[in-house]
Amino acid sequence: MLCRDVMKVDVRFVTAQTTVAQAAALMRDEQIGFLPICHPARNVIGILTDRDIAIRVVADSHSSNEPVDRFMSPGAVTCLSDDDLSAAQDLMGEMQVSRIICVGEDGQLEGVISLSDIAQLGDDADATATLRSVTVREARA
Amino acid sequence: MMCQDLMKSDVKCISPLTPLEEAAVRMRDDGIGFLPVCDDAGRAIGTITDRDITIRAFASGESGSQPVEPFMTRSVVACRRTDDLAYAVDLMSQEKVSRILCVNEEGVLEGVISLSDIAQLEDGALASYTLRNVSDREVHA
Repeated sequence: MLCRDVMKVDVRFVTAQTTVAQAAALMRDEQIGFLPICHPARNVIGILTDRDIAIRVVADSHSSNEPVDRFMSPGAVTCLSDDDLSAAQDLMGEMQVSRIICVGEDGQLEGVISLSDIAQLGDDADATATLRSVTVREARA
Repeated sequence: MMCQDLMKSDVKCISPLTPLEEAAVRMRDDGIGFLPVCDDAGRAIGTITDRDITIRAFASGESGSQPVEPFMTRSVVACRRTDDLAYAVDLMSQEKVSRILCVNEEGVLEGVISLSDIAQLEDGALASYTLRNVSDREVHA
């Protein structure tokens, strides 16, 4: 099975100059907790999560008008949409992330695979192995 | 296996009057994303997550100096420490939460069990079943 068979393609993303207030509103309205930050050409430059806003913005009393690129985690864990799913799972375990960005040959964002997408596949051993190797930081107490 | 065999008992709770900003600092410093909210007697009256801070407070322009109480989740999903773990897992699936509180007869918080604790068990089917049933909201792309 390839990543493109599992990945969600309707991925919302924002640009570097989007304010954290806008990003938070988007997360609320779209019921997501994870936003890729992209150049206009859809090249991913970073990731911002709902947790990042709580612990990097609220915890330090930053203004909600500041741009997201000050608070994002630069870079992203990516694989090619044409990679085998098992390679993506290995990478998620190795990099301790619960989501992986799928890109095309030109590096442009094409989709996202999350741990819950893998859990929906129904292969218990597979999903659990990934869940177990993804850190407590991500599915934390 | 009983809940007390798996629960983490070094759980810190916060007061409903704790400012959002202080809760966020606690989450950052302790590497957690979830805090039980307890009254003066130690009874669990709610929970608040990093996502709640971002979505319910920050996204609506609320100040970080506001108390957590209006933004916490008031319905507490809880079991007793002597309950069978399978009961707790069913309850987590049913209520679509990735953590469950363990409380005593008076409702005083004694511990927390998270999905990741269950994932560490040898029973992969149990963990995967729980993961599949806990909503996308909790372990989401």
